[in-house]
Amino acid sequence: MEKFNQLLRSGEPYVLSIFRIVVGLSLFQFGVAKIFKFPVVAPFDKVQMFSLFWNAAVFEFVFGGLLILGLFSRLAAFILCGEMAFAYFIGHFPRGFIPILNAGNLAIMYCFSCLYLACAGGGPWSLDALWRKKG
Amino acid sequence: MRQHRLRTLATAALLLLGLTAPARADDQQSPQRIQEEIWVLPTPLPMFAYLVRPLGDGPFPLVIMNHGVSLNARDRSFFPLVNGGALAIIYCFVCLYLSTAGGGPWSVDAGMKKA
Repeated sequence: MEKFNQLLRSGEPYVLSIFRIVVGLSLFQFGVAKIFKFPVVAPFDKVQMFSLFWNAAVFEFVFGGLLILGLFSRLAAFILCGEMAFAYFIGHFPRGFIPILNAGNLAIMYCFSCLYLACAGGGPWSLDALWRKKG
Repeated sequence: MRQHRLRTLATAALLLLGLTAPARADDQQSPQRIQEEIWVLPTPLPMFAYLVRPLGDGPFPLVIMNHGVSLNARDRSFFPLVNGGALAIIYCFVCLYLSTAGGGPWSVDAGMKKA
């Protein structure tokens, strides 16, 4: 068991980077869907420019993109964490207390994933790490 | 460690070759000696089954491939936003990360280690 744990632990930094990329991609798609209407998704195809949803989409597009690249990962993750907290309490919490009923699971997961990434950073496979090595 | 990794890679490559090579050989030799049928199974949820078998006398080895494809076009979409899989993806990678990082200081694990 100890050996198994050791094996898993040795992959931690790289999995952190993969995790960051997946969270980034996952948030990025929401930004793209709301701003550029691609792919066409029913709740997002009527999002007006400069509306609340549109502004949220700009955050998701810009900071989600930064998370994918691993550039300013901590700052990007911190801002996205805050955005997702707002998303939960504005968009989901009024619909009910239980996340399964208010469909806010995804927002909660994004919020806490980003909170953790803000503390842990982007890992070794990121532009941040590349930059630090050079500078 | 490095050697072990190389050996694992080589085994995986061999396995892949073994899986693909016989199929390719069959295709090149006699593409007409295979018979394809489509069966419609009258189950509560209608299902299609593709039956592919070589012609001639058996016995042949039987391979059943369970490849689920939804009849609903939305479910088959590539994009997680359309097929509704974003949450599953996030859970998957969160758990992958937790499996490597462990449970942190506020966990029974940590309490047991201290004791």
